[in-house]
Amino acid sequence: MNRPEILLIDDEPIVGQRLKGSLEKLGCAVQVFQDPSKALDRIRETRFDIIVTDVMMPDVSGIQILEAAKAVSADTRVIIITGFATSALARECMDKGAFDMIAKPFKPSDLRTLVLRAAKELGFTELQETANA
Amino acid sequence: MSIVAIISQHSRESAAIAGVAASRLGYRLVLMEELVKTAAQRFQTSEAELFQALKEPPLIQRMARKPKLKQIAWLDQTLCELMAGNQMVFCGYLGYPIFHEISHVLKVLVLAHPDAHPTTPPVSPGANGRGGIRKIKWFQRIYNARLDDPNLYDLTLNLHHMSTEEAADVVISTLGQQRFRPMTYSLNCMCNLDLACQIRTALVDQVPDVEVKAHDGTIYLYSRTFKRSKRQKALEIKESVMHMEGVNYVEVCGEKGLFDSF
Repeated sequence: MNRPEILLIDDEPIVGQRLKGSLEKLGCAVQVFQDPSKALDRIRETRFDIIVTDVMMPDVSGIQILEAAKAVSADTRVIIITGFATSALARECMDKGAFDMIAKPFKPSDLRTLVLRAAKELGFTELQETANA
Repeated sequence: MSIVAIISQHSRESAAIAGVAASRLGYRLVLMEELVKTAAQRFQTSEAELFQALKEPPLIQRMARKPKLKQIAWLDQTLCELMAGNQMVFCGYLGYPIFHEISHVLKVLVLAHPDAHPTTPPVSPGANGRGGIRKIKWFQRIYNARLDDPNLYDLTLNLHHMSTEEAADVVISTLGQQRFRPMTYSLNCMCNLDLACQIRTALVDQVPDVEVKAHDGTIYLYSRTFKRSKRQKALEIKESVMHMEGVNYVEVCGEKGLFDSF
């Protein structure tokens, strides 16, 4: 099965650990970065189908990740996850090409729903949400 | 589920723009009259009383009397219910704080010269004269903001410089921007506002000045009556809200500063 390549960036280790397993159960190949600078380097080397990123991180913000990702590949779907959600931030992210934004805290199933929708848009039609994922 | 909110003291001109925009977009058109009619049916009350609540500004800033607060709570809740699941063009001067919280709502201010459309007779005498001034006063005293402050809106249309058709074109083209596309966050904000409005409607009889915020089932309540001296009342209110559908936890605040921080 063709699997979507996902890059997950969050400076809190627990977020990456929890979400990685959840998205892998969906059938995605997931790389996790806590350091957004290293993630930025990886984005420039490798094309990802979906990027899930936090916004407030040291040195590099999620907005910079979004801009870099869209500059490398306009087709990459970028999902913003943030504990500091505001209308202004939501609008900025959408203007810069984000696929969606969700406020923390959220359930892993909420993110899976977004990833599934993004993956289907990209043609990964074989992915399916499972009850125990 | 895109939403356009056209807010103006000039009801005739803004309703005309809303009508053209809604028709071209294929969205539902909701004018104040429909909102009032729906709320009257929903809450088994008279349309005349609801119109009266929208007509007369409170005498003192943010100090409307209990019946008016209840009627405004009904109208706010009805507005939230109409928004849910609908692509909508709303035209009126109610609900500004609700629209402000939802990032995908395109908020439009319509300014019209008093002689903008001399060929169109006013719906009622004073509809755009004294009525307009009264709406500005109503907005100021209910929301503590100026209805015609362009800073509150995404788009300001001056009908002195454009026709109704051109104004509708500008609205439609602006709505095409990515920032007005609904997203999970803004749709969740709508659900939270809907729940907050339901709770306010349920409490307004007992606590007329209650302010409510909701976030994924956690409810924050503020009223001046929740100070320490009335702890028992606060606990009773908390208990009653805990049993409402969609509520997981209730936090009662007696301090406005604390409530605003949530």
